[in-house]
Order: sequence, then structure tokens, then C-alpha cells
Amino acid sequence: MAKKNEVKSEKVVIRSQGREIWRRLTKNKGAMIGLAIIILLTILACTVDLFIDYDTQIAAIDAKHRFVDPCAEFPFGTDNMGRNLFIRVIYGTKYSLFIGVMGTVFACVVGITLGLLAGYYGSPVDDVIMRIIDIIQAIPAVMMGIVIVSALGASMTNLIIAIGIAGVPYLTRITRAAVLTVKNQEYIEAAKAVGLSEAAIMVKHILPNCVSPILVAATMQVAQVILAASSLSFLGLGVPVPSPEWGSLLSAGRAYIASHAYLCLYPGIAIVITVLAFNLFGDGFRDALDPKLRK
Amino acid sequence: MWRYIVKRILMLIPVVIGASLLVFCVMNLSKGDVVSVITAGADMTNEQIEAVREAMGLNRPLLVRYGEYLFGMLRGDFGKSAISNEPVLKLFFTRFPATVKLAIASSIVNIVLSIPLGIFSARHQGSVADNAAMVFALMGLSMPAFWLGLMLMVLFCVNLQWLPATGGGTDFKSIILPAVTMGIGMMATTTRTTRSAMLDVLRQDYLRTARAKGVPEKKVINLHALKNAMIPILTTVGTQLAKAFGGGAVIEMVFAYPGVGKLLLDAINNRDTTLACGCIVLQTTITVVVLLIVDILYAFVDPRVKAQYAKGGKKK
Repeated sequence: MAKKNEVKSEKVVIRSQGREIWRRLTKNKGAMIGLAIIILLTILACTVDLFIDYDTQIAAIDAKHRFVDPCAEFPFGTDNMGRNLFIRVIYGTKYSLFIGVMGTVFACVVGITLGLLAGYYGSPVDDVIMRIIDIIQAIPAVMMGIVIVSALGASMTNLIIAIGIAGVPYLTRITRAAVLTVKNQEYIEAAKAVGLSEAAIMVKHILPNCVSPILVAATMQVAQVILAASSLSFLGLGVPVPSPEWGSLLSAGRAYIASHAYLCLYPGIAIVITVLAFNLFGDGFRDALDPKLRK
Repeated sequence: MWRYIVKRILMLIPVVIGASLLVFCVMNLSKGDVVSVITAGADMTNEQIEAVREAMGLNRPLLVRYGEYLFGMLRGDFGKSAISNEPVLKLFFTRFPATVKLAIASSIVNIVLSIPLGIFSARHQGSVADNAAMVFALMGLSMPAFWLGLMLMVLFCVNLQWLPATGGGTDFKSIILPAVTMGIGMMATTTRTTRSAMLDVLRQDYLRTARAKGVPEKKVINLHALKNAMIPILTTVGTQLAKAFGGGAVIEMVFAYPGVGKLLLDAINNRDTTLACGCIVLQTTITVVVLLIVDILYAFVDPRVKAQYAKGGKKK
């Protein structure tokens, strides 16, 4: 009975808080612009295969239209193989967003698990996990990515793993800190008293109360993953050609940068807009969760 | 205080050993080793290639090789590069000054851009200009550094022809673009820290007092307010500097800047495990040590933090 009441009141609190957060979020113009761009990009990424044909419009070579400067027919110009850069950048949304989200999911799954265990059990589990996290964090993220991808071979899955690992320390720390504030609350004690298993307490009672800082961290992480992925792709360690991932487009365009700078300009702008959107939204989200910051 | 410093230094040891183990193992798991790079194109039978491998000791178990590497490292011997046969330490430290120069130059760019911008934002809190400044700062964080570098290169080297395109030269001009590129990347965090630190200070009573007794506004901001907001700002700048020692590989590559980042990238491409490991371990150590120095300085500058350590309280 006690448990039932507990769960019920918790739900009510979460919902009204959620509404309050949403109200504050809608007041923040930057966050709303960010959110709009994110939604737009997501729709684009999901539907892009419906109106762009990979074989004829992305991979096919058109020798007649090599290096056409941006014009009405080719808004972003064409590359060294006569491919329409505009179509390629649009199609690239799919790759970059997918890598961003999957890299974040990887970091979240590992980071949240480690953070929960470290925060809940405390020393010595905490010490072991946090020392490992220290080690991963000490190695600069891009370097770590370079080493892992060059070891596993360049492919999209390996790229996601490599960048995901670099995000693990951040999410572990955030989760651990949130767990520490929650785990001594009375309702956790109540859950223990009614005899719930430790796993159930962690997943059903602690995690839902740590969700907001983790969500903010995850939003920011998507931005970081997209940036890091573009760096690795640029170094030739990303998605293999001819897939038009934005970092690979930049890498390919770099050879012609002195004469055809637009080949690098547009994919870069696409990255900036996407990353900025996630950062703006993440920022607004954090402010909405913690109104004290925005005073 | 001393106990804290010693404890932090001791905690560095497992981090450095763990990082070296991680990198050593991952590098050795890679497809293709340094022998396949050296012998590529050479007309050799498989037996001859195996003989080279054996002569270099690469056919022994991974952990044995790591143990040997670790003991060498603890004695200060990082081994020799398999490609150039030069000691890793020598290769690293011939390149290191260039990286330090770049890190410091970009920190200067960072300070010059972000502190005035942060102060401006704080003074005009909530205004359009404040929001614009914050979005501008956020842009710096949202740009791939190598892309910004390329774009600056197109603008200043190809179109305007003001600056040289590569950072290889020794003159002052060749470091401007890499430093600006890196500095803009650092700017976002520093600007935000400056803004929030200044906002905290600007609400304090002693600033009202200063204004009331007729101190000119410029002096109120630059002397009374900024001085008290300086601690978090300097910490951020220091942290960014520490990261710059380790994180500039991509920028170094774009500008062909002869720092350790480029040395590392080349080593990884050549599967030169000894050199790559050595570079990462040394860079990691230097980054962590600089971060430690920043932390300790922070404690020295701020009496409140110092008192906390003196009591034996944990930093949280």
C-alpha cells in the first residue's frame, strides 16, 4: 500500500513539473529555434530515401558537369565527379544524424549503467568505476577515436563505437552525481523496506528521478558526437566513400579547396547548423530545468 | 594542502598506466602492423617478413611486450620509433615546443576575445546584444575546428593572400591562423564563464558602494568587478590550455603544423605503436599535470578553497 501511494504521488509531481519545464522552455526563443531545426532535420533524415535515389543521384558519376559553380540547377555546385552537392548534403543528414544519435545512445547505455552502479553501491565499486572513467577521460577524445577506428577499421559502426566511448565519462559522471542526490531520499528507503530488489530500486525508483540532468547531457552529447564524427571522417577514418556523410564531403572537398571552396563551405554549414541546434536546445533545456541559472 | 597535492600526484600513476595499457592493446589489435607498412612494396617472401617481425620482437605475446614497455617507461625509456629508429622521447620533445607555442597563442586569442565579450554580455544582460553575443559564442563551440581552419585559410590565404597557408614556418604570421582557429573553439566556454561570473559579482553590495562613492563606471567594472570574477575565468582558461596540449591534432593536420598532434597521426597511420603510445602517454600526462596545476593554483588564489583543503575536506 505504502509503495502504491508513493508511486502515485511521484507520477503527479513529475507531470506537473514536466508542464512547468515545457512552459519555461517555450519561452526560450533559442531553444525553440533549436528544437524546430532538430525536428526538421529528423523528418528529413527519415524521409530522404523517398525522394532521393542513392544509386542514380548520390553514387552515379556525371562527367559532363564537373565543378559547376553554385547556380540555379545546382544550388551548392557539383564536385569533381559531377555529383550534385546539394543533393549529397541533404542525403548526408541521414548519416550524420544517425551517427550522432547512435553514438549518444551508446554513451548513454554504458554511461548510465556505470553511473547507476557507481552511485548506488558507493565504495569500492564506485572507486573502481571512477578510476576507469578517469583513465578514459584522460585521453583526448579525438585521439581516442583515431586509435580505436584505426584499430577496428573504418566503418560506420566502428566510428559510432569509437566516439560513443569518448562520451561515456561525461554521462557516467552526470548519472552518478544525480544518483547520489536521490539515493538517500526517503522513498528509496521505503522501497528498500518493502523488499524490492536492488535492480528494481535502481531502474524503477532512482533512474526516473535522475532523468532530467541525463537528458540535458544527452542532448549536448549528440552535438559533440556529430562534431567528433566529422573530425574523424575528415581524417579518413569515418564512413567510407561514396556515402555523403558531411565529414567525408569535407574531406573530399579539401583537395580542391583553393579553386572550389564551395565544396567545403556547404557541408560545413550543414554541420554548424545541426550542432548549433542541439546546443541551443540543450542550453534552453538546462535553463528550463534549473530556473535559478536564468535569473 | 601538501597532502592533497601528493595524493593527486599519486592518483596520476594509475591513470597514466591505464591509459598506456589501453592504447597499447588497441594499437596492437589493429589490422596490419608496422612490419606490413615497412615491407609494403618490397619484394619479400612471407618467411622474410616473418623474420623481420621476429627480429623486432613483435611475435611475442601482447602482455609480455606491454610489460617490457611499461618497465622501460617507468625508467624513462619510451623505446624507439619503429620507422625512423629514433628515441620516442627525442621525437616528441623536438615537436613539443611547437604545440606549446600553439596552445599558448590560442589561449591568448581566447582571452582577448572572450573576456571582453563576456563582460559586455553581463553588463547588457537580457538585451538583444547579450543574446547575440551568446549565440556567437555558442557558434564557436558548434563549428568543427578543421572546417573553420579551412574557411579561414580560403579567406586569408587564397583570396586575400595576407597569410601563409601552412603553419610550418617559424615566423609569427604562420601561427596566426592555427591559433585563431583553436582560440575560437575555446571561446564559447570562457565567454559563458566570464558572463556568469560577472553577473554574480555585479549584484554584490560593494559594487554599489563603489558606484555610490563616485568611482567611474569603467573602473568599477575593470578593477572592482573583474578582479573578483577572475577566479572562475582563470580556471576555465587554464583548463582549456591543458586540453589544447592534447587536442590539437586535427588543427595541426589542417595547417600542416609541425606539432605533436601531427607526429601522433603519422605514427598511427604507419602503425608505429611505440611512437603512438609514447605520444599519447606523454600528452595525457602533460594534460593531466597542467590540470592539476590549475587546480592547485585555484586553491592558492581562493582562500575559501584553501581553507577547505586545510580542513581535509574533499573537493566536491
